[in-house]
Amino acid sequence: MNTAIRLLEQAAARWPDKIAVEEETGSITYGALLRRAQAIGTGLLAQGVSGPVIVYLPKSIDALAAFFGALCAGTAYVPVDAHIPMARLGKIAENLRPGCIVTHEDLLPNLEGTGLTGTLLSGLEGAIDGDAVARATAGVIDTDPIYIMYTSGSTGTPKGVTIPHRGILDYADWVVDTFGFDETTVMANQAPFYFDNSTFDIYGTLRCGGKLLLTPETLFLFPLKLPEYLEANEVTSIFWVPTVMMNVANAGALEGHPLPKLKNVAFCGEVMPNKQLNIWRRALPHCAYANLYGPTEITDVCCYYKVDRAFADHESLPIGRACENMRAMVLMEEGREAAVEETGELCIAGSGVALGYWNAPELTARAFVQDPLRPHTASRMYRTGDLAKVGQDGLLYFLGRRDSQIKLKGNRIELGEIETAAVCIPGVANACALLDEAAGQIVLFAESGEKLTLRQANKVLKQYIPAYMLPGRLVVMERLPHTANDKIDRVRLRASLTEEVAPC
Amino acid sequence: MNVLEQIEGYVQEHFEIGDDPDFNEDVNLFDEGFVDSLGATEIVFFIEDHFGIQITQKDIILYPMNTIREIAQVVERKMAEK
Repeated sequence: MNTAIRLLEQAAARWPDKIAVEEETGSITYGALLRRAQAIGTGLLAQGVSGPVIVYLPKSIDALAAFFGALCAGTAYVPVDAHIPMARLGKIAENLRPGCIVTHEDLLPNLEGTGLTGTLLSGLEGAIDGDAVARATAGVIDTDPIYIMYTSGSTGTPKGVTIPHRGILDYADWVVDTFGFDETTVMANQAPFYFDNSTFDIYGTLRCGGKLLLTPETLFLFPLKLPEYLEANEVTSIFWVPTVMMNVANAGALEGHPLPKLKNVAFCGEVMPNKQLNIWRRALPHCAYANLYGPTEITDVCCYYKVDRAFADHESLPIGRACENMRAMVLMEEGREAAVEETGELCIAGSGVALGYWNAPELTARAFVQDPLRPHTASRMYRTGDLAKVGQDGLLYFLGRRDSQIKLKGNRIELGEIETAAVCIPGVANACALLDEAAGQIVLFAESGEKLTLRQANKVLKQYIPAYMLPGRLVVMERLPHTANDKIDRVRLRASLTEEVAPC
Repeated sequence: MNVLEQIEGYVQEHFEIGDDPDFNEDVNLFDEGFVDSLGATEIVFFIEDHFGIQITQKDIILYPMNTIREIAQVVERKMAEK
């Protein structure tokens, strides 16, 4: 049966001595990556690990080896941020019941007092027991989980999106076919491994014998120097969030860097403004630009649009059409397909659709349903909660959210998760979080009779939510405005964003 | 004023930090939200212009530049190399 382990085995057989992944401090060949994975798999099996493996490591070759190591042990991997707040990791572990948490020595002290036990990666890597690995992987089929990725949940508990091997294998094929990846591909990775955009980089590159560059995170703090990095490393493809592309464009960083080797510029995760896209297209006219769309629940990407003309600032950039292995439908409440130019919910079917949310059957049943347009086949459909339409040109357009989920710098955030954390701040009785689109930041309205600064609030919030969810502005109120039926009046608070409210 | 003081003065004034008690030479400017990525570009422009040096992508990969002190160390190293 074809699985992601076979993908790596085939690549290692075909390009044993070719560099697969390169990081700041070294690199690893395809052959060596497979051997490391088999050694880690052997170690996990020797410890009797059978459940999913949380990989609590910074972005690194080690982390990738641990991912494939979990697969070699016949189980799935769960990538988490090396900066994850322990309260969040605890919630994930509670939902997941992991087989183990693989980590480094320097992260181990963070687990003290949490009730969680870490397993050192270095301790797992001994001699390879090929028979044990073969036995463990023989029973894995393509509808088994390859990874579980936790995304923000509206009630404050992260949801474990469970993706099957088949989703990743089809996605890797799609990336290679659509972007012409081959052995000469050099991919500069930006997305963190706990963010599913990284699967484009990892599996697209490893599928074709290319080289995956783990671009140091610190460079993304200095977008001015990113083109120089792409030039020095002869990068051929990038898949970055629009925020990074905007920062590069706004810094004027592309001037003087013609980047003749760069072929593909893809982006996804939030709306890409045409103004900055046009700066890229003017500076690097030889590159192909692609706007990709997809929630974590459908293996990263399900729709794409190859930018084939200039867009004026006010125009909407389409998200295009469904990927070849997927179907995208705009459905109305009553279940019929929307007419052209009619707004409905974007729903996705196809091999990339997740198996569901880990250990959350009710949430799963609500979001993953029988495809109403194909009632007589076993076709599951994911309801994205995103609003969309099909335009006169036959292309799909993204039109926003149905609920309070937001996208900020490519990160998907449930405002409810921030609000749940905010009431843990001493003195805060109630809270409401909103996205200020114009300022590109989250504003937290906190009900408190005491004085509170943004930095004090964030010091507490950091213990519960990741850094990308932290508010950029705090408004303290003695009492939050309420509607007639006693819910927080979000409309009134939202309106106050455009009025002059004294910042705290 | 030494290099560190000049950079500190620039950051304090340019990013309107005022007398925030959490601000000092060793605080992580980015993690603590004093400076965003556009601000990072402005800091690079400032130190390249002001000290007549060129910061390369290699410098950024090799040396941390998250605090005023770290940025000053990179500047001093680049000035010594000139």
